Amino acid sequence: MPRPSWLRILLGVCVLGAFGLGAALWVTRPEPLAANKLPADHVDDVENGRELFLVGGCLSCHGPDPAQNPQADTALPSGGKPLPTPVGTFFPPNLTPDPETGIGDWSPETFANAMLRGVSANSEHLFPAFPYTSYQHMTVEDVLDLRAYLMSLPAVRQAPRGDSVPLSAIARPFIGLWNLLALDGKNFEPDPTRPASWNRGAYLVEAPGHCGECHTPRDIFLVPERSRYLEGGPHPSEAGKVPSLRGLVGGRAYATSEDLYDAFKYGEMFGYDGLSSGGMGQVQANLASINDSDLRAIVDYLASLK
Amino acid sequence: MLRYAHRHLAKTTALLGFLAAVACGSMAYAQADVIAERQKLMKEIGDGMKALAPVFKGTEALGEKAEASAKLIEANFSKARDLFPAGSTSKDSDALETIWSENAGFLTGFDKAEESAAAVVEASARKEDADFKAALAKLGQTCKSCHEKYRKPSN
Repeated sequence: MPRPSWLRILLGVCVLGAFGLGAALWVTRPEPLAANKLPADHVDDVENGRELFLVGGCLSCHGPDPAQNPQADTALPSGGKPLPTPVGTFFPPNLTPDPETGIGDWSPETFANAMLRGVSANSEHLFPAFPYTSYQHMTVEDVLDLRAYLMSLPAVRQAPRGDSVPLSAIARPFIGLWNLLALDGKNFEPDPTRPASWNRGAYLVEAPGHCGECHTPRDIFLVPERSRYLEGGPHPSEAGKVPSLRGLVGGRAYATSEDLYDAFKYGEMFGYDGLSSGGMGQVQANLASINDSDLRAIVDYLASLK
Repeated sequence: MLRYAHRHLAKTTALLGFLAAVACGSMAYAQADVIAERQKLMKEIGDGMKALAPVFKGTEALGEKAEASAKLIEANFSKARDLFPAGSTSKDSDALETIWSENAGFLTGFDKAEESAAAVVEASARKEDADFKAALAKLGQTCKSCHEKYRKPSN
């Protein structure tokens, strides 16, 4: 038997490497929800869906830009302005129930897979520019209610604009590996030692509100660092920083919980000028429009963060 | 002769350098000055808005006190609009470059702010609660829409 040459060894390493990579990508392939994860007896609550739509600030990304599309109804999520990211530019898609250009033909399973698993309608990994990393913690019932609300909106025909992500085809399969770090598949866990309002606030902040996407710093793999939850970090697109949400109340920013509530509810009208720049202006407008009990819950929770 | 010319040149250069340094220094000083001055005016506007909050909530009556706050807001806007000379930003300032690259929009924002503040003054003088609330909401919206575009995220 001839001794293996270096060339053969190299070839062997390459074959093994390719096999290993293939196996890793296969293991982390898009994994839709099992059909039995969807409650069979769920009755859609459109009002709850509307509340989640506001808490999530869906319009902030999916609402049309009047500068580019002056005729579009800005109250409908018919597709938002371009979202530049380090990997390319995404165009937030049309979430109205138009069957061809929106989500009209999405089944409850399809919608739940996007929100909870980051899996697209054609069973590919979604890029985490869409914050499924937060929405994964929503309850399935809330996700179904949100879909019901979107389906209740007037359909807008708005042709999709293709994302401009140069390495999309190569990068997409690798998102599964990233998901190993960023997705835990766990539902929000209430803290039984805390009051219901606090737990409601914690859920709204963590899951539909996806506050941590900007307010939690990310590690070198761009995964939010759980150990530094809501501690603030660099601004994703502009100069300056995203502030920490810890120690908000009782410190320099807001003397009392009531101050923080007023800042969310009334913003600059009451002289709270810290919530307008850096994209927070739209978030404040959304918060001002949610149910009062939910806003109080969010304030209860945030005021407790030290 | 040549040596004299050299010395003369050296003196002139030194003098010019000194003048340039003084000019730059005083410009930087003047810039720090306008930044501090407009920040003071804006802070007073914010405090004026805070003073109107209890009136909006109905815990304080609409009257002369509210009118005085609204007048201060209006006056400060008209002073502050001239305190943004081109490029006047620094690490202590939250002013974004868009103030000067989209200057027309920035100044229109000031016009709207002054108009809205005048409406708050007027509604306060008439003690018209509904008008006061509507005008204050509009004023808050003008503050917000400028800060969204022309101000750095706060730290």
